[in-house]
Order: sequence, then C-alpha cells, then structure tokens
Amino acid sequence: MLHLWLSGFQTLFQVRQLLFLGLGMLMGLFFGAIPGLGGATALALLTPLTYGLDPFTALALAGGVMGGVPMGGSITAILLNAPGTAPSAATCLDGHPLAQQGKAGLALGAAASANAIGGIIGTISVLAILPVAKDLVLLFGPPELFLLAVLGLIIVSTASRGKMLRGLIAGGLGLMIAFIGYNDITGVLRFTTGIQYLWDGVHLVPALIGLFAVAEMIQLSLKGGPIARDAGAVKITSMASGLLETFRHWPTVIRGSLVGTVVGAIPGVGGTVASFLSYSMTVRASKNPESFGKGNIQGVIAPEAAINAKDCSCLIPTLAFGIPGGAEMAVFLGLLVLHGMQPGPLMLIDHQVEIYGLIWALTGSCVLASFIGLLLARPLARLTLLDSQILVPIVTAVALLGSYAVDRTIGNVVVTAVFGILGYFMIRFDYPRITMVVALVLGSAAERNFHQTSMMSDGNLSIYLHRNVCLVLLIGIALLLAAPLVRRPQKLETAP
Amino acid sequence: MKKVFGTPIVEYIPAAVLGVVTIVFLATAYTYPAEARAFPAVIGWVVIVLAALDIVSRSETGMGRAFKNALNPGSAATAATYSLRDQAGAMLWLAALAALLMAVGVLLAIPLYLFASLRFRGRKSLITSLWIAAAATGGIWLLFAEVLRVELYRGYFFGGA
Repeated sequence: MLHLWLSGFQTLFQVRQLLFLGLGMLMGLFFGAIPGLGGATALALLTPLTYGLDPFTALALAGGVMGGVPMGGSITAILLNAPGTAPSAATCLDGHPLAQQGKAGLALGAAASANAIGGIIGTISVLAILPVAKDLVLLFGPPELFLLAVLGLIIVSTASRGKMLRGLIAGGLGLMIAFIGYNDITGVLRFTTGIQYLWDGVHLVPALIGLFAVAEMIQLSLKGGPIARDAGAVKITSMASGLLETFRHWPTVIRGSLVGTVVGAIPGVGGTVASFLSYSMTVRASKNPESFGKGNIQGVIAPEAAINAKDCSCLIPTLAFGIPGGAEMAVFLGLLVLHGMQPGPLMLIDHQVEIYGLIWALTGSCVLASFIGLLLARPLARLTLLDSQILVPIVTAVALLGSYAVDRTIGNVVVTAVFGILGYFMIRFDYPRITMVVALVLGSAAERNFHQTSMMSDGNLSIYLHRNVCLVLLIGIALLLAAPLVRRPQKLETAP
Repeated sequence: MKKVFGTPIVEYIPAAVLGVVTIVFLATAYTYPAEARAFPAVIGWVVIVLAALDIVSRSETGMGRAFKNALNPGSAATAATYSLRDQAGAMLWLAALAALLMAVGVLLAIPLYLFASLRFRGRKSLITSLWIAAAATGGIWLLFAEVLRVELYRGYFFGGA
C-alpha cells in the first residue's frame, strides 16, 4: 500500500505536474471567488483543455482546481458577505461580522489554516478507507453493478434536499439521453433521428459544459450588473494571529474535519450540508452559543475545516462507484471518462497510481491555496466587481470553443448550446442537474450490466434475490424509496 | 396568470413537456427489436409515471399537497423571476454564437459575437466593446491555437467539414 502512496506522490512531484497543479489552484481560487462560477463551472471549462494532456497532468490540474475553489469562496464570503461557492455561505455567518469589526485578517488567517488542516485530515481518512473500498468492490458482478447504478441515482435524488421526485425525473431524462446512439450489446442504432453525429451517443463533456458552465452564464446574464456590490474598503490585518487561532481551537477543527469526511463520503449530499452541519454542531457544543453570528472565530473555523475535508472524502463514492459527491464531482466524472478512466469498481483496481496522485494533488492544492489565497485576498475580492455583461460573453465563447476542442467536432458546439439551455431550464424550474449527470455517466454501463445479468440468468429476475450484495442493495433501494412516504411532513431547511 | 387547480399554468409546463417527449421516446423505442428496447422502454414508462406525479404534486389540491409533502417538500416555487423576453434573448444570443461558429468559423465568430454582445447587450461604448472583443479573441486564439495546438474550425462557408 505504501508503495502505491509513494508512486502517486512521485507522479505528482515532477515539474510539469506541479506547474499544472499550481495553475489549477490559481484557477480554482479565481473561479471560487466569483459567486455564480464555482468549481463545477471551472472543471467544465477546463476539461476539454486537458484533452492533449496525459492523465496524471490532467488529474493534477483538476486536483489543483478542486483544492483552490473553497479558499476562493471563503475570501469573498468573509470580505464581502458574498460566498463564492454555496458551502462558503456558512463562513459568512461569522466571517463577515469579523470583517466588519476590522478583523478580516484574523478571519482569513483562521479560514486558511482550517482549510489546510481540514484537507490534510480528509486525505488521511481517504487513504485509510480506500484499501477497504478496494476489497469491497471485488464483490461486484454485473447484477450488483446494475443495482448499484439504480441505487446511485436514487441516493443522489433523495439527497437533493427534498426534491426526490424532481431528482428522479432528471435522472430518468438523463438515462433517456444516454440511450441515444449505437448500442454495442444489441448492435442497433437508437434515437439518433438520422443524425450521424449521434451514432456515438451524446458526447459527455460537451453536455457537461452546457449543463454547468453555459447554464450558469445564462443565469448570470439575466441577473446582470456587477456580481457583488461593494469590494471597496477591505482592510486585511493580523492574518498570523488568525492562523494561530485555528490551532487554539483544535477540537473545532477536528470535529469539522470529521463531519466533512463523513458527509463527503455520502453521495450527493454535498459541501453545503457539511459546512452548515459542522457550524451548527460547533454552536451546540459551545459554552457561549449566543456569540455565534456576531463574529466568533470558531464559526469560521468549523465550516472551513469541513469543506476541505469533504472535498477529499467525496472522491470515495465518485471513484469507487461512479456516484458523485456533488456537482463538482459530477463534472469531474466527465474528465475521468475523457482520459479513459471509467469511474466505478474497476477504477480502484486499474488506476490506483492515478488515484493516489489525484489525492496528493488535491491535498497539495488545499494547503497551497490557503497560503496563496491569503496573499491574493484583496485582488480576489475585487474580482467580484467584474461586470457580468463582460464576463458572460467571454466565458460562453470559451465554453463553446472548449467543447469543440474536446475532439475537434463542431457538432459538440450544438450539444453544449442545447444542454446549456436545458441546464438553465433545470435551474429555473428547480430540477437537480446532478442526477442527470449521474444518469449520463452510468446509463450505458447500467444497460450493459442489465443485459449481461439477463444473459447470466436467462432472463430470470430472481438472480437479484439470490446474491447477498444484490439483496443488500435492493433493501437500500426499497428503504430510500419508502423513506419519504413514511416520513412525517417537515419544513426543510433551505440552503442560502 | 391563468390558474389550473390553484396553480399558475406555467408551473405544469416542464412536466407536461417531459411527458410529451417521453411519449415520443417510447413510440420510437417500440420500433426497435425487443432486446434493444427492453431497458429504454422500462425507463420511459417510469418517467411517464414520474412526470404524472410531478404534475399532480404541483396542483393545489389535497392529493397534490400530499404528493408534494411526501416527494418534493423542498422544491422551490417556479414563479418567473425574469421576463420571457429576457430569457428568450439570452438563449438567442447563445444560439447565435453556436450558429456563427458553425457558419463562419472561430476566428470570425468569436470577435463578432463578443463585440455585438458587449455593444448591444451589455451597452458598452464602441471603444470598450472593440478592445475587449479584440483582447479576448487574442487570448482565446493564443490558448487554443498556440498553447493547445487545436486546429480552429474554419466554418461551413470557408471549407470547414
């Protein structure tokens, strides 16, 4: 095992990889700082640009982005009360009051060190869990893999904060789209309407660029004006004492990191739940709960530690089962597919060195972004003054051109535009996009496993009842579907 | 706005459109051999049921509220935030860029789109629009053509395949 850790480490410690890691981290900070962009958009735009890169370099770049985004989001959350990413909204609660009291440096320093430590604790957890996950996935054959895909869709739907029905609909639509093209099991062309481009199916990366980057740009263009209102007089002092505060409140860091790790390992739950859960647990554990919301430094440390720990641990369901931990991970699945790595059980066996390289890249980026983020805090805050009417056309042009660059096919541009519009309508009518991505990624594999299972059992569905892992998965599916029907109606907490 | 079962009619549109699309999908699926349609047909029927549940859950009837509480309690209201004209405009600009890219290629489409978007949509001055369009096109060309070595599409009218 140590050999694999070191191999992963070695792949990262080369000039080229480190350069791309740094570049990704800077892009992550940039995209994280601008509300409305975030990690999913950054990865969607970057994925086609990695086409010519070897998998290690592409993963270093992606790891850099994912590690940089949370710190970027925290900077604008603290300084401007405008969280760059949804999970950073929890940091606003105490971070911005601290900034208003002239203690922005203290809050930023604490956020940076909590980010870095959270990332490291998350990494340690992943390194401990991965070997166990590897043994577990060896128990999976076609029937289990089929049920796992179904379970994945249902988990992500039920995790969509009280939008199970709409999540399932989005997943169903995603599956219908995934059926387009040549079916290698039956040798039949399906749903192509005579368009030759669709023989290979709907290309995943252009679709993801549309669903995330372009859809967000449509939304941003309708909003108009500057992204944040005032980045004027931000005073940043005493960052060093902020760095030390994190060590002084080490139980908060540990608790936040553990919350982030556990929440991250549950598919589809996402960083917002991790950061708010960590925050509320810290408030409950505090002897002075009324001080929260008014500038308590623990209110900054708790969510920040959770966010980065979550980023590491959500790699587990994403890589092992192809079920993303959040939108960013959903787009990351597309990057893996582009580089010939099919997420799922076999990934943990066939691409171990790449996985460990990615984990180190993500950790390195978390730590690096914390310190570079402190240096760049002021210019990053000013980024939010960018006029969306300038930003939107440029990002849209890069997105469409990026989708063309994936495999130099102009048809990709149309796919991106169509999925951009579809993605906008999904935002507008409140349908979660993650379930659609999961369906697009897992759709063809699910169908292949369904057919292979039918062949194994001569079409007898009872095969699913005679295998232990299948039974466990079936019970999981039944419980998840039944849960909303037996639960008492409750008012749900909505994320800001 | 006209209401049906206590809910604005626009609320029903997404699920209704999905229902129609799925019916077309199912009709197409049934033209394929049994093995090829087996899985798509199952999914199609499931989506039809889900779309029907979605329509019912959006209504302000007793059954609608019960479905919503059980299956969609966290769903947000979908009242129009932006005017239909603005939304259609945003999509037309996107469609125009895609069409321009296909017709005249990257090196003409990108500066034209950026300039037009900044000048007419963003209401920037002529000079600002010109220099931002030129600088962004230069940056895009540098990134894709020089750094990534992507052969930029020449456009249908200029021999692009």
